[in-house]
Amino acid sequence: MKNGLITLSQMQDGQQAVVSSVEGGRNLAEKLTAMGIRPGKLITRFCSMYMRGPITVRIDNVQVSLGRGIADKILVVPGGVTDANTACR
Amino acid sequence: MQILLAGNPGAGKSVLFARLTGSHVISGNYPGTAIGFSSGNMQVGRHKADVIDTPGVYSLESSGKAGEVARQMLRAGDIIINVVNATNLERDLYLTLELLEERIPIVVALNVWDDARHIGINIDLNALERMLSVPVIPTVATTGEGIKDLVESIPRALMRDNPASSREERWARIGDIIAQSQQVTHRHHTLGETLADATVKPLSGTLIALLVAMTVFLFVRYGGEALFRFVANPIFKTLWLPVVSWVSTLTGSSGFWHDILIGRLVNGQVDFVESWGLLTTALYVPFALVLPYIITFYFALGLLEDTGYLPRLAVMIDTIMHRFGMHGYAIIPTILGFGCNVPAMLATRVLESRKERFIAMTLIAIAVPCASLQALILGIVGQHGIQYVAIIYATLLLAWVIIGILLNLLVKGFTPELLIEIPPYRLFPWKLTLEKLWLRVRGFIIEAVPIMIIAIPVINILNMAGVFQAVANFTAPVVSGLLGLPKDAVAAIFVAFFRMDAAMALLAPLGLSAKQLVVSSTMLVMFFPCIATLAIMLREMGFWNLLKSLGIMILAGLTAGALLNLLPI
Repeated sequence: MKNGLITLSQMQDGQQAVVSSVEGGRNLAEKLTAMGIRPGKLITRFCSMYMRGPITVRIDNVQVSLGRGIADKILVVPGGVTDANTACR
Repeated sequence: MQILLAGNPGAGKSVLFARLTGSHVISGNYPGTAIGFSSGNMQVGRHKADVIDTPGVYSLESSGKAGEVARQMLRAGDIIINVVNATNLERDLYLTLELLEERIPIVVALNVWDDARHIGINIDLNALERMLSVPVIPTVATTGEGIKDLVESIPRALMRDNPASSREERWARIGDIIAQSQQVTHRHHTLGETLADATVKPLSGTLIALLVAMTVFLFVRYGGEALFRFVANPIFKTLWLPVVSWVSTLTGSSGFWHDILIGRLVNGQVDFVESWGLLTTALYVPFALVLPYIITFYFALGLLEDTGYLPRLAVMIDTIMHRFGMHGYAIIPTILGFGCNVPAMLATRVLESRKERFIAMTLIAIAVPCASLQALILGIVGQHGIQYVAIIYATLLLAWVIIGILLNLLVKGFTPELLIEIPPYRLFPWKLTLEKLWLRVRGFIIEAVPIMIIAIPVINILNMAGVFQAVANFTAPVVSGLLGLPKDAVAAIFVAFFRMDAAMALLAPLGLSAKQLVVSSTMLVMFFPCIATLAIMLREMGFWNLLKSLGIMILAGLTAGALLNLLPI
C-alpha cells in the first residue's frame, strides 16, 4: 500500500495505528466516523474471530466489531504492538 | 408540549424515557433496542408534556431508516433532551453540535455519569455547559440519579440556532470542547475488563458462548420444570381441582354446558390437559404448563440483554451466520424468537438488507419454536422420554441450517458486513431485568390467555359440530399416508394457527405414539406461523414475500414430517 499505509485487515491483533482514511463509499465513511473511526484517531486492533470473522477494534472508550470487507477499506498508519492485555489470546 | 429524546445508539435513551414517563419500554444493553419510537407523557411544572423516544442515531445526516425517522421527528418537537453518553463524550458531541444548529431548545443529559467517573473520565461540567451554551445535567438513567434535576432543567432549555457548519468544522469544535472540559486519567486493566475481553476473543469467546447457551438451556428446562412441579401444578391440583369437580357435578357431568366449562371427563375424572373445557384446559395450559417456562426463559433472556452479552455473541457467530446470508446480529432476533416469534419479527428491523430480513424472518418462523410451544413439547413429548424431544430440536436445527444455506443461494440481494458497537458490560442489572420480566409475563397473560379462553370453546363447538372430522377425512391422504398420523391430528394444525400451545394440547388425547408425537410437533413448529406472527410478517415483508415465505414453510414442514415418518424412531 502507498506511503506505508496498510489496511485494518493487515494489522496484527494487539497493534495500534492511526486512522488515515476510509476508502469506498461516502456512506461507509460516514457510518464509521459516527462510530468514532475517523482520520487522525488512534485505533487499536484488539481481536479477530476465526475464519476471517469480524475484527474488534478500540477507539477511545468504544469497542466496535466490523467485518473484514469493511476492515479492508480502512487505511491506517501502523504503529507498535501494545501490552499483552489488548492482545487476542 | 412535545419533548424529544435524541442521542446516539446505546446512550441510554430508552431507560431515560422509562424514568421520565414512568411508562415501561422493553430495553436492552445493545444498540437498536428502540426501533420506531415510543411515546408517553410526563409532568413539567404544572404542564403535561408528551415525551417521544427517538431511534438512536450518530448523526442527523445518517442514511437509513433511523436517520430518516430522527430528522422527521425533530421537526415535530418543541424541546430536545439530547442524551449524551459521558463515557463517549467526544463521539456523542457530534450529534449535539448538529442539534445546536437547529431551531429548537435543547438540554443535554450527560448520561452514564457513574461509569465515566469509574473509568477515570473527569468532565468539567461548568466548562462543558459554557462551551455548549445549553444546560448540561449529569444523569444515571439506570439508577434514576439526576432525573429530578433534568426535569427541573427542562424549562431552562435554550435554543442556539448556531449557523450551519461543515463536518470538519464540527470535529474541530469538538476537539476544543474536549480539550477544555475532559480529563482522562490512565488506569490499569481491571479483572472485570480482562474477563469481559475474554468474551470476544476467539477461543475463550467460543467456549464461553457454548457455556452460556448450555446454562441458559438447562436453566430454562429445569427451572421451568421446577416451577411447574412445585408451584403451578400443586396450586391447580390442590386448590383448583375441588372447585372444578364441584362445578362438574353441579352441571351434571355431561351435556353442553358441562362440555364447554369442564369438557369431557377422562375415566370419570377431570383431566386438566385433555378435558378441553374453559375452566380446565383453557386455564391449565397457559398458567400451569406455559407460564413457568415463560418466566424462566424471559429471566434468562433479560439477563443476556441487560448485561450486554448479546452483541458479543453476534461477533462470535458472525462467520456462521454469513453462510445463511445474514450477519451475526441476526442471532438476536433469533434468540428472541424462542420466547415469542412476534417481537422476534420486529427485531429483524436491525438488519439492513431486505435479503437478510427475509431469510431471518423465514428461518425464525420455520425453525424457532416459541416458549409456549416448547413448554407443551417438553410436557407432552417429554413424557415419552427426553430423546424424543432431542430428535425434534435436532430436526429443527438441521432445517435451520439447510434452509438457511439454500435461501442464501436463492434469495437475491446482498448481505452487509457486521458493523456494531460493543457496549460495556453492565453487571447485576437486577432491577431492570426484573421489571422487564414482569412486563413480558404480564404481556403473555394479557395477550395469550384471552385467546385461549376464546379459542377453546370455539374449537370445542367446531368439534361437536363435526367440522374437524370433515376436514380430517379430506386431508387424510396427506396426514395419514405421508405423515403416518391419525387423520384427526389435522385439527391440531388448524388450531395451531391461533395458539401453538392449544394445538399441542389437542394432540394429547389422541393417544399418539412417541414417533407420531415427534412428527406432529415438528410439523407444528415448521409448518405455519400463528396468526399474530403471520400478521407481523405481512406488515414487515409485504404480501408477495409472505406468500413465498409461507410456501417455503409448508414445503419444509411436509418434507421434515415425511422424512421423520420414514425414520425408524
